[in-house]
Amino acid sequence: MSERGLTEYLHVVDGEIRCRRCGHALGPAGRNFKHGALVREQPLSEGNPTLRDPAIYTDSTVVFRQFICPGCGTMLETEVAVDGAPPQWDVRVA
Amino acid sequence: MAASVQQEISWDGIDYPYVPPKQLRIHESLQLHAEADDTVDPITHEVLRHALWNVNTEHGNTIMKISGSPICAYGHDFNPSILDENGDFVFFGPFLQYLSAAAGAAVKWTMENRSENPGINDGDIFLTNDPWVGATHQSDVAVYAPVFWEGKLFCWVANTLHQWDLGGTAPGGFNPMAVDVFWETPCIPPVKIVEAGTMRRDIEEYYLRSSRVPKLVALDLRAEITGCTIARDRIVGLIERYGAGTVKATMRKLQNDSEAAFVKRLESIPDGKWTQEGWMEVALPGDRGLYRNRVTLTKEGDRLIFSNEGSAAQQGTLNGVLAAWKGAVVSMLASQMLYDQMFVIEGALRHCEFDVEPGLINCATRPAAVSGAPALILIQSIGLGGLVISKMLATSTDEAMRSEVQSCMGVLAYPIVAIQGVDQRGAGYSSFLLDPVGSALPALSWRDGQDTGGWPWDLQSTMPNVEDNELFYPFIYLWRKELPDSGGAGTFRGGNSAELALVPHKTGSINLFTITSELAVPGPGLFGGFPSSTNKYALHKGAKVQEQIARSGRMPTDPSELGGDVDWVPAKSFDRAPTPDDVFVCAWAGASGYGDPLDREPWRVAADVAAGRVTAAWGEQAYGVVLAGDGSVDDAATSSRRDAQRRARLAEGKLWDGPEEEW
Repeated sequence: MSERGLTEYLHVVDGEIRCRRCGHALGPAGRNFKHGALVREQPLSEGNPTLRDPAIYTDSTVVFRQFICPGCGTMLETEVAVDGAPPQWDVRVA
Repeated sequence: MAASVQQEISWDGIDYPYVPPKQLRIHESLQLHAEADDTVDPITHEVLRHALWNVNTEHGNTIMKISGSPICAYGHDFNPSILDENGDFVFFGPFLQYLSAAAGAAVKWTMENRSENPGINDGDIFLTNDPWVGATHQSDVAVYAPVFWEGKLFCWVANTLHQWDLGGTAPGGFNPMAVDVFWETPCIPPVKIVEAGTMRRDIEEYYLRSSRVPKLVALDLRAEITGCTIARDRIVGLIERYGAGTVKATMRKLQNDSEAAFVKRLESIPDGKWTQEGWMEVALPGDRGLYRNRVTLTKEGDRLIFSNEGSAAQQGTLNGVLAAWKGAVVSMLASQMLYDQMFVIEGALRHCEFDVEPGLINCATRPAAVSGAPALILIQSIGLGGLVISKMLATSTDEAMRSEVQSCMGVLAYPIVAIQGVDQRGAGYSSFLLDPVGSALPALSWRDGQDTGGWPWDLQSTMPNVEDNELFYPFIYLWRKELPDSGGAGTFRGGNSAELALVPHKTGSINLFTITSELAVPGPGLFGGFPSSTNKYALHKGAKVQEQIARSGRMPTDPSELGGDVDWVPAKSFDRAPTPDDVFVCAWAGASGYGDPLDREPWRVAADVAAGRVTAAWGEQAYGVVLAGDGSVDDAATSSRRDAQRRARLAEGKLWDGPEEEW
């Protein structure tokens, strides 16, 4: 078995990205793991209570996006997403 | 970069930024002293290693002692460095890291373009603030001196110091209205300010002529020149004592040891690709747009390739030059991967490539406006650079490297509050507030970020004393305080930031400019951590706080206690002028969180609530920690609440059904 760490909560096992907590498979190493995760979008203020409405400053939509392990509910990653952009493919190992 | 683009570009520091070639083109009249002993014994090496370190430190301390500028004394907005005869780094100083990377480009440009005319000789000192040559923006002036031994160029000593004001349409040099570089402080390509030990009066007068505060800038110029002079003399002294070959061998070994350490660390990391995007706000006053800034790091064997692919096109005041962007990335490499190499960054630079597309906000071409870079694209790129390096280090098999993984630092954009007017003594002033230097440190993978702990790439900067600022400028503080909940939630919490409130005092009004970003979009969390707070400007018009104090007998200590109308001052503004009837509030962004907040040990939340660092309500909402009446953790209620929160995540989360990002 080959194993390689990817993030705090994810590792790559035999070419598959898995949750370290529950072993849930989130897809092949060559694909963005976020597409195997549950996605929840909330207002920015759910991410930090001090945040003001972005509409004061910008016409863009800004949301707090969360990626959740479908197996155990661990918060795998978060993003501050603008104008509905697709999830960032931000970690990738050979 | 696309090959077709590369063919057309001349990276010469004219329209495109200067990128030194591997082999510098130097006039034959400049001979390099390249001879080094084959070996240096370990004891002598250690003695000389620390002697050179001390040369650099003394260089920096000299600048601080001579300059009267609070920007220098508190912000430590300067950095000295030592470079070898090829312009490659030996030591960065321990001050503001990113400045030195730019100065290195200035040294190499000077060797290529000034070695024939006017020549580079013993006793000369050069100066430039040209961002396309080797400055992070026009207010950061590089001063650098060749060190000669027996008629040959042995090495360089260099420093960069942020100046009070060098002219242009905006006092202080940060121009929120600049549509191009011609609105900004003039650029000065490298000139010989000192020739054979004598200051060139004509060049000095040319340099000072456009400044609003020429006497103060003249003092800062002398600070920079004296710093170089002392460093040069100290190195000559070391050569006289230990021999040129031994000193040069020590420099070579420093660079080689740093490289060996860096390569060994890279061996623990798999090949891969990591990216992070951030958002710049407001290209020019009145704009409400968001503009992507993206840093991508690719590791291939023993090479790291940094790219700006996917970033927005240059526009308005948002831009920075390549020297600033390189300096940003290098700052975090030094902090996270070479922390034990005493800032000998050359070892890393030998294995780094910067694959940049020109014309983007982080690699601007002339005549783009770039004066705002250090407050905007530069500092955000440091934060994004730190995140991509952290994501890479998280895959390391070396526990020491994984312990350097950190969330997003505080103050991804410096909230510039530029102030100008007539002070309480009737004299003119022009400066900007340095309080946000008390930024917030990111959370690490094993501990919380330090509240108002500064930046991870800046070891020396300090917040100014409130009393000193009240002495320097015509205002008084109502408060300056740390802000609960401003650090992002996480298994490890990001450091909290702070807020200040000012009332103009003994002046009619203060002309106030703002330049920042990160008012609308906070710094992102890492690996399940939550975002930080944002910067904030709020002008409470007509608060009449003096009358309020007279009525109530107490000072207000929070914005909620202020009257008047709130003006949410935007990220770029030039038309606010608070009077003694108004209150100006500025807060700066905290650091983001690391890891799932529901994994945080409950006792840490209870301790934070007891200390006022986290509110009880947020402790329950974000961390799922329920406290009893005495402030202790209610274990059963906490366990129950956390279970419910995890169930809610699973119930509310959906698989993404939109487009996927291609790579």
